[in-house]
Amino acid sequence: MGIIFPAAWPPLARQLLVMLGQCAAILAVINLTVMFLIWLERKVSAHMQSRLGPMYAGGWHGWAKSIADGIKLLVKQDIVPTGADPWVHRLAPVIAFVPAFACYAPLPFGRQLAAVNLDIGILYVFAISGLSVLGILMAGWGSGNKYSMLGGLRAAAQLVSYEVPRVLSVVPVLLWVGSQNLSLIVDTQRHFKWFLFYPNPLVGVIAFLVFFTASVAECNRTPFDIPEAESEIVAGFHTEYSGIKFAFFFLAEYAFVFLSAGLGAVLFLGGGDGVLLPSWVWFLFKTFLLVFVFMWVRWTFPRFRVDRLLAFSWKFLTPVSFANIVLAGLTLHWLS
Amino acid sequence: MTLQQGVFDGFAVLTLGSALLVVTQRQILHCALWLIATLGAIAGFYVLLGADFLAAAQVLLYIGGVMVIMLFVIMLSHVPLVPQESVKNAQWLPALLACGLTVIGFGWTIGRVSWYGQELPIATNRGEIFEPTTASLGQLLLTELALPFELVSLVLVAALVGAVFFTRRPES
Amino acid sequence: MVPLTHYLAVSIVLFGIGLFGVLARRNVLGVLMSIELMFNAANLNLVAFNHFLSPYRLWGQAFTIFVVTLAAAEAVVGLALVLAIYRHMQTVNLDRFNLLKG
Repeated sequence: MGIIFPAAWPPLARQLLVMLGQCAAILAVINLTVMFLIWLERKVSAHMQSRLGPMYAGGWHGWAKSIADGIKLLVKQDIVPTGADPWVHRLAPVIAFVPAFACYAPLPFGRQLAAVNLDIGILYVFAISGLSVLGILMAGWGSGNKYSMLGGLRAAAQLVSYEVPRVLSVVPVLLWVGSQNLSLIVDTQRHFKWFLFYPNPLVGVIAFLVFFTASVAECNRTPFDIPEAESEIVAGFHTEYSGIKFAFFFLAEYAFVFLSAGLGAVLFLGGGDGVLLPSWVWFLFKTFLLVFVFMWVRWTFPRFRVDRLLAFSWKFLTPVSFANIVLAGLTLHWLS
Repeated sequence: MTLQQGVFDGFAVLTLGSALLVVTQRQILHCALWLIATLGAIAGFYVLLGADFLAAAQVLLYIGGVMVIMLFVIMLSHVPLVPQESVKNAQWLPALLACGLTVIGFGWTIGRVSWYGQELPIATNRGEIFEPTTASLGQLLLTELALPFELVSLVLVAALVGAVFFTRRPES
Repeated sequence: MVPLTHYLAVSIVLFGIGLFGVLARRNVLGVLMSIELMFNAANLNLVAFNHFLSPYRLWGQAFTIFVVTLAAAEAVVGLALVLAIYRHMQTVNLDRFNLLKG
């Protein structure tokens, strides 16, 4: 009996066990959140279109709809197309999905509630989220289908183009805080000194809007959802995917939505700063508020045309971010 | 065998194995994917060496930038591999000999040096204290190494203009 | 503790593999990838020496940042050239790039 109990194991094995436990906990929490987000998206989009959405699955307002969808996707037949490269085809959803989860490590869910207190927090998040572009390229290639490959290339071009304003819009925050540590950024915004309005509201609002727009584009959501739109090249890079592999792409997209909303809350809205309630309640409140705005934007704006899509990033968002950085520098200089 | 030695061995096997697969695979896309694995393993080495900013920069720039553009070009210049065409060209045997001699030569030179205890890192005497590198690197790049920094940005502009120019379709 | 010589050994072997790829591959994209391997071997060397010999002055890591940036610029220009050549010659086989041959 003593051999099974972890206290009797060597310290290395205990360390590894604790790390595995942390990873499992994060995975479970994020999976549940993503399933909740899928249900929320169905309800929000339904009510914005004056209809009701899921009502029957599980009884009250179809709360079990996500679980039903998950079971349906799990039992679907797993198809690998004949002309496809089987290993690339199988590996692509994994590479699109794992970075979405790995990025949650430095995100502070409240005061001192980050899984890992990384000193290069925000750079790590941007680096790892850039890896999912590779998954999409592999999906486009691995399907053995010209239209999938074109869809994959277009999606990758969009994602890479919108990474630039996304990273640049965060630089004013880093200038103000002096560090990339996400927990430190949250601590600097305590007592309502949120970056959205504290040193310079103009800089804060512009940075937040650019970050939000670029994040919507990074998550392939309307109005930037050319890669996924059915009226475009069939379904783009995930045409040939069914069953659990399609579920991976789907989960990755919603995990990125929650991550981007969480980052927006942490960087600009003080993430966890508030009165009376514990910090993690405020963090979740602000994040879900931003998630609601993500969904609201989806059903409000029409889709960008593909040439105007890239021009919007390179010719508008990137110069605006640069000007914002200069403004932030001037603000810092004027304040000291 | 400590954890650090084990992790180092794992990264070393991953790096060298992936590199071997990069230079020997027939399908060029597979070579690119194995190169991504190699670059990731090198980022792991940087983490082991305490260079945290550099590890994140390696993933962001090399894997998220250079490899994406390489995959783009592979997909745009997709040439199906003719079965009898081999991966290696006619001079592979002299090349193998030259590389073998280079590696042996470097190895022998390193082996001959007596490192006077500089083999082990200085920080070992006080225990490994990890210090984040971003602030020091930033200061270095903007004070002592400001000139190379500006020159590299000029090189990047030249590369951008060159790439756009070379891939322009001729107006006809 | 992992001594410096182990890092140097990995760096040397990686460089040798990259060198073999450059000299022996037919596909020009394969040659470009092998060049990236050589760059990475040199970078590993630089960072290892920095960590072991002067851990508080980060010149080695700054040098590595410059090498990464320049490697990215070189890869971009090289790939643009490959695309332009592919448009003309419909091949990426180095043995066929012989228009200047007498």
